[in-house]
Amino acid sequence: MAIRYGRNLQIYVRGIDISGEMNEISTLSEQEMADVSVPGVQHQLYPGLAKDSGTIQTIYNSTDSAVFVAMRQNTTDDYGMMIAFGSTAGNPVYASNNVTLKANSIKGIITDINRANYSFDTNNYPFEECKLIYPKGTITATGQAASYDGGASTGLGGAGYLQVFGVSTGTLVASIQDSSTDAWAGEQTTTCTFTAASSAESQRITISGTIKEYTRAAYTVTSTCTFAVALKRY
Amino acid sequence: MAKSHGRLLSFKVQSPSTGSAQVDLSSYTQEVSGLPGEQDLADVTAAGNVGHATYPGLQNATFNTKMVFDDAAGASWTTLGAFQNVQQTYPSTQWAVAYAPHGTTAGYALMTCYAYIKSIAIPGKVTDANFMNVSWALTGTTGVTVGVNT
Repeated sequence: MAIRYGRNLQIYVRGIDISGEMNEISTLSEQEMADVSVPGVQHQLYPGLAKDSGTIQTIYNSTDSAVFVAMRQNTTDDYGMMIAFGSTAGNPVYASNNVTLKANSIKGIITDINRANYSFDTNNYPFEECKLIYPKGTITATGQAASYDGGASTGLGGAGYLQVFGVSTGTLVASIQDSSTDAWAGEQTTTCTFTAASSAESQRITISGTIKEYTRAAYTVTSTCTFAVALKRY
Repeated sequence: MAKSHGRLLSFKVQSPSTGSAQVDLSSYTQEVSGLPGEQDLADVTAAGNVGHATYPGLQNATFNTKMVFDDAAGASWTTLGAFQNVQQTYPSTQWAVAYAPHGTTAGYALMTCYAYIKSIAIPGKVTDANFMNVSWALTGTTGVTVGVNT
């Protein structure tokens, strides 16, 4: 069994790691159902639009709060959120690059530490169930991370998610490579390449076609960079 | 009288995905509530009745399962987590559900039906394990079949 404990949760929002102040996060994934009942035995339904939402309860931190303040009335820019149920390669991840803020409340009471509550929806694209390919880590030179065995090759494409926490100078160009054999001796291919990042940000990239069994994060850098990568297979 | 305890329950599902097999989620299931479900009742009270009179209509079951979040192969999250995409990809095929409150021994009660997943809520608390609260809605043409294990 792979039971997950809440104390291992990691929450990243557009390159800001708010895990250290997080008490509780709840997500709700819904799907609208149209009632298409006709004469017969029972009500009949037809699945429609997906609708995801969630809430976060944290200890108030002005840096973390600034991320959510920036989301207010932001009509041009959805935020990327990555909810990792652990910090080891292969851990499940809930990821969306289309998170919009619904409510933001900071509670100050003389008998307690200041706390903040945020609620959010996803804009069009709901959370996707991913695997953590590269847990949040810091690198200082171009290279590749350890590979992760996805169990089998899949042929329906997928999506790559990137959270960049910091780039000291220059850029980070992250990519996901795949291999059928785990040899990484030249047989590997590049599944997707994220846009060059020069500061904290989040990205989602669509992947077409086959994703081979073994995947790994690769990176080209000119300085110290901290980032995380997750992969969704369709 | 044959009492039964919830620790013996059996809960199995088969995904709408083409070629999927039945998956036993019993070892991840903490609670099943709502089956065999409700039934629409039309109020057909008329003059001369002593009390309200009703007439049964369509079956209308919504039921809930509380599960331990587990992302191992064939486990709760792995089986149910991508429900939105699965249901949009196969909108005319439903999950086949089999619930046996007293376990799978032959002769014990078994409820089967077809349903969609309406929602999955995952409360994540630093002080607890992760769980999944899954809300289901009956659909299809056969209703809830109440029978026994064979």
